[in-house]
Amino acid sequence: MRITLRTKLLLIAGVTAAALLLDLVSSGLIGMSQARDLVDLESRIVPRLALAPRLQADFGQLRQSMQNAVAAQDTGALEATFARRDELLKVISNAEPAISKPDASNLRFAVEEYYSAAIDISRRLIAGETGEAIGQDIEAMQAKQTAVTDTIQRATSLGHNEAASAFATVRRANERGNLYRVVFGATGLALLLFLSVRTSRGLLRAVTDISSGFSRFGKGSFDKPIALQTDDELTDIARAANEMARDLGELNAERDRIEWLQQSLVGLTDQIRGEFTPAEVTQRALDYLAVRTGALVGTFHMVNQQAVFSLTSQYGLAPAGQGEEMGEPWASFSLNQGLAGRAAASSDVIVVSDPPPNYLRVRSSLGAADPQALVLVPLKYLGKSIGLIELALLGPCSPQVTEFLTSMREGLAIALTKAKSREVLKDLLTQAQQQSERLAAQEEELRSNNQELESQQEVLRDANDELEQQRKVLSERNAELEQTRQGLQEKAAELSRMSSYKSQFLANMSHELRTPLNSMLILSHLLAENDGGRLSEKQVEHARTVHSAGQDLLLLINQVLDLAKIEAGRQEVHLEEVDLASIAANARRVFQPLTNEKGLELLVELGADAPATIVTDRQRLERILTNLLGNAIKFTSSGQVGLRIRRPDANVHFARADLDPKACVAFSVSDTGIGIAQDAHERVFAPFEQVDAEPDQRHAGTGLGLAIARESANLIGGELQLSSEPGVGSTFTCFLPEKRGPVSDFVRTPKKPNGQKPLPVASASDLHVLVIEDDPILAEQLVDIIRARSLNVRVATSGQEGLVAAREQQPRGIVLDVKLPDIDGWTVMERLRRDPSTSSIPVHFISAVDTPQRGYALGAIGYLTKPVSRDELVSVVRVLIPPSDTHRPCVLVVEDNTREGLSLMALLAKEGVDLLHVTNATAALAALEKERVGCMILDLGLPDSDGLELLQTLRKRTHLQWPRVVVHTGRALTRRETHELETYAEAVILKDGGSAERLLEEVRLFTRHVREHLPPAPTQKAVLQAASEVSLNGATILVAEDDMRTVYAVSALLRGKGAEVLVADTGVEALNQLAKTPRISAVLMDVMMPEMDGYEAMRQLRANPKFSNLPVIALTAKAMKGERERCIAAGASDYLTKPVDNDLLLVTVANWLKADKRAAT
Amino acid sequence: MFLLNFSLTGKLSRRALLAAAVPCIVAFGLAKVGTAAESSFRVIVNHDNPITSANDQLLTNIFLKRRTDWPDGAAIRPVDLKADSPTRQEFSGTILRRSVAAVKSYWQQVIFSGRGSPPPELESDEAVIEYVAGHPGAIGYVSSAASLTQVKAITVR
Repeated sequence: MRITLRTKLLLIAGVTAAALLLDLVSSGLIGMSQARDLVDLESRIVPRLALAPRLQADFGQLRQSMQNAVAAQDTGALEATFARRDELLKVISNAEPAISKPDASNLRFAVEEYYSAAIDISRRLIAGETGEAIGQDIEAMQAKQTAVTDTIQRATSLGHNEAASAFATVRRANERGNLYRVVFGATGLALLLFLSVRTSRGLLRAVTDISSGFSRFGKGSFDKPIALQTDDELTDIARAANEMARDLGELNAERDRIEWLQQSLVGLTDQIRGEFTPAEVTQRALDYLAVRTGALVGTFHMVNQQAVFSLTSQYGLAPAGQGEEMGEPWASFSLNQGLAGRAAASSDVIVVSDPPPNYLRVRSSLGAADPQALVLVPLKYLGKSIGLIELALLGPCSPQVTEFLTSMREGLAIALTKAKSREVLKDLLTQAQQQSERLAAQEEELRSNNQELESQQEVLRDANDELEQQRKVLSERNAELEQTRQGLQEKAAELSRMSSYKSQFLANMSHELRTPLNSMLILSHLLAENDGGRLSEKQVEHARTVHSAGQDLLLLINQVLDLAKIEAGRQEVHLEEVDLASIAANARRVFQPLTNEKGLELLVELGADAPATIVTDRQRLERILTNLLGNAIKFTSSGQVGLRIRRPDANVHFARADLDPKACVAFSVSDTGIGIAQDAHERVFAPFEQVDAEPDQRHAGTGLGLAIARESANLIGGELQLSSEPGVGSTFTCFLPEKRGPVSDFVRTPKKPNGQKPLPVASASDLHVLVIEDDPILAEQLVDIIRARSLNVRVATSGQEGLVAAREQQPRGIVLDVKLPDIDGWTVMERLRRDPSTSSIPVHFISAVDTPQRGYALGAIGYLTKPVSRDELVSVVRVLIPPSDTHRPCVLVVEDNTREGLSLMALLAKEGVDLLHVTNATAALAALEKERVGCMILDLGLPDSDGLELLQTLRKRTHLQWPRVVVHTGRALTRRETHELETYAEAVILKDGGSAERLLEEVRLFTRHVREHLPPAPTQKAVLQAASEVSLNGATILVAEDDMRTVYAVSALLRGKGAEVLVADTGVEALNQLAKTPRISAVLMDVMMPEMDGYEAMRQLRANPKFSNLPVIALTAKAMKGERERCIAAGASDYLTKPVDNDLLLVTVANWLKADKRAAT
Repeated sequence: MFLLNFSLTGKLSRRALLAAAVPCIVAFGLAKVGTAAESSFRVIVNHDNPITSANDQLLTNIFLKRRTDWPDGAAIRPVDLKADSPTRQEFSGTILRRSVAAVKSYWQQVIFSGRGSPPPELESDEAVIEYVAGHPGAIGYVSSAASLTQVKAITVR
């Protein structure tokens, strides 16, 4: 019968459950009886235990409520305590049966007792009773209180016996329950133990059998299966394990077979691996195969290139001749030839079992036997037969062997083919090695060549090092040179500083010299005039000598000053285009009389190769030539003096680096004079040096000429050279560049020619310009220029002729020379002005005499110093005959610097035009819109816009009349800017020392046009009176001057003309005088005075509105740059330099007095 | 300040404690003498009572019935003046350091908790003197104006 494990286990579980159930039931029954006992205990005893504190608390509350009522003195509250008492009593009654009936009634009684006493006491306390009686009653009441608490205690305490019996009952019930549980538990456990032991023993045996079986299988012995004893689930397991063991045994055998195959293949591969020849491969393979397959005899045929299989290796064949019945193996056969040939062609291994007897005998030295099987193994590589293996076995050929032979074929075929290829490769390698050896030999040769090259390179490097050394030495020398150069520079700087000190000194000195000279000249002139007629002819002659000596001295001082100025670098360069022909002509004109006088011959030669014009400073060039020619004439007693203008020789050497012989002109002045020794060549150029150390009357002179000439040449970018031989003569050559860039601080922009503009049609007269000039060359030039502008021109060669022509033909303009054959230009001018018919004709001076102030004082509109350029002549014509549209009655000054603007206003005020001053471009445009502006003086740097932009804007406003624009700027302009400005402006003037005159000149051109169109003022004639006509009757003039000589001279001059003269020797004194004497009509103010100088005095004077129109003429010996501006800025109406020209002084004073009077009326 | 010192120095040595306490006690004593001289009440006992002085702590204990026996074992019988008496008020303020109302409240609490009864309150100084003279263990207080021939005044320190 099959009893399964499940059945056994269920049986054990059932027994266990039954035992547990029994135990549970008995425990429940016992517990229930115990609970009953405990409930009884709880309901009887516990309430009584809780009652005591409850009662005590309620009693305490009752007392507290009474106390509160007493404290509050509240009888009502006291009566309310009855309720509390009743409550307490009720609680006591409800406490039964927790306390016994007698206990409860006792307690109620005690409480009532206490309460009646306490309520009495409380009432008395509220009533305010004190004293001993109540004290005793209180104590009685307190005794009752104690009785209550004691009673509560007694009633609630538990009786001992009662508690003990209750607990004993509970304990007994508990003990009974325990006994039942032990009995049931023990029985259950015993039954369980019995069943478990039985079952486990059977299980254990089966499991042991199975586990030993598994361990056997694990060790690989599958032959003994597990014994099957019982029939349950474990038996099933054993059965399955036995089946598994069988399968595993079969698998093992298969694995052994494969393993043998693999090992054999690997063994074969090992044998034939390596670099073997094909023969070696076949032999090793055959040997291995024979051993592995158990073959006793074997052959290996390999195919050759002729497709013939030839025997390459054999195994186990007996030596020839030992077995007569046995055929020799085939040495060779072809494909499909015989069995071997067929086998070779086949793709499978062929097994021939049991070959016929005597087919082959396998022999050893011990005996011979017939093989039982023949195996033919063809070898193929890429489908081509390459060999055949034949094996003879004694036993039958197992499938395992066949399989092995089949599997190894491919590997063997590959190895064989590889061995063949290797052989071929080996041959190739041998060839390659031979070539490589040859290459090595060539390389060796190359290396030796390389070494040779390296050694050459070494030599080169050495040479290089040497060069580096030399370079270092050179750079050190350079540094030394640089040091020396710096030292030299410092010295040069020091020298130039010293030189400038010297120049400063000279300038100051000449100023100091001029002041006394001034008075000397004035007084000697007065004396020579001999107005009183008291002097004898002789005395007048002496006075004239004094005057002319003074003039000479003045010339000398001017020269010194000039030189000093050049050296101090203050000289200005005025560049212009210079016509060389005119230079030559001038030289001849000036020096011909002198040479004639000395009986010398003057040669002036203008070379054919010389350019027609050069750009340079004409005045300087003339001065240089004058000096050189003057010297030459001075030092030449016989023979000739020459001036040659030509291109320099190409080989000439210049000290200046910027000179180029091809772009130069040489001005050579040669003489046949005493000559200069070689060692004195440098010395002659030094100031105050002459070639003869001893004083020689013949050669009297300052010795400054050459110095000035040299400095001047330098200044205009040229060079002065000397070549001379004593006794033969000297040649001074001045080389000047043809074109000179703007290097100085003064750039003169050529005036814009107005040739394109339509020319005005002469209205009053057909004659436009009258030229009063005796120099035919200049006259001709002027005529050309004027005619080129379709204007009529007439030339008068004498003053008289000119005056007549002017009166008769009423020209629109006159060009006047000063030096005329009959009467001089000054006189002509005066007469023109005196004649009402000619007084308003504009006159322009062109003179060799450099006194423009005098010209302007006489009323000229322009003054040019000869020699003049063509451009200047053009501008003269333009000034005289201006374009018709420029006359506007108003001058607009656009200047953002207020001070500068005011000084410009002051400068222009006396020109008699309306003036407007604005400080920015916007205001300027507004003014241009509103006012009739004929002339605009424009500063370029404006706060809101550039001057140029302003002009461009203005150009766009076509409805506006285009004014005459004079650009007056402090800015250095680029070439482009200048060019652009020239398209708009009449003139571009840079703010510097000379700018005021230039500006004045430009404005005068304008004012002249205005005047022409105004009705002639009645006073105009008087203003333009000549000095001799001046009358200062009735005028009171204050002369503020500390130098008494000047005071005397000037006073004498002014008094001579009828003026009253007051004198002040300091600025303070001058102001005092002015304050004291209201009738003063003009002031001559020296700028250099003690205490308060003239500038300050003028400023203070102008600060007083009373004197704002008072003419103040500044006198200064400082002929320095910017002096005029300083004076005007300080408030001067005009400015005169010392030594004062008498005529000029009178004209100026008269002029200002008239102007003042006119302003007053 | 003294109390603070006391609690802070609780862990210090006893000598240090004494050193700190002595000057304080002296200072308190001096202050008390000043108040006694100005006070308007006198504490009185029976002529037969041997004590001559008492400090306010002792008096407080006696009048709140915390101390019930004289040193010789006789029962102490304190007696108060009526609550509206200025002498009572002053005594209560300076010696008991409580207001009369606070003392009353104290006694009510004592009465209803069953711990004792207040001293009897008498109408006048004379009643108090009579009571004290009539009871050997009695102690009371009267205004300093009262005549003290039948009883003994003790010094309050």
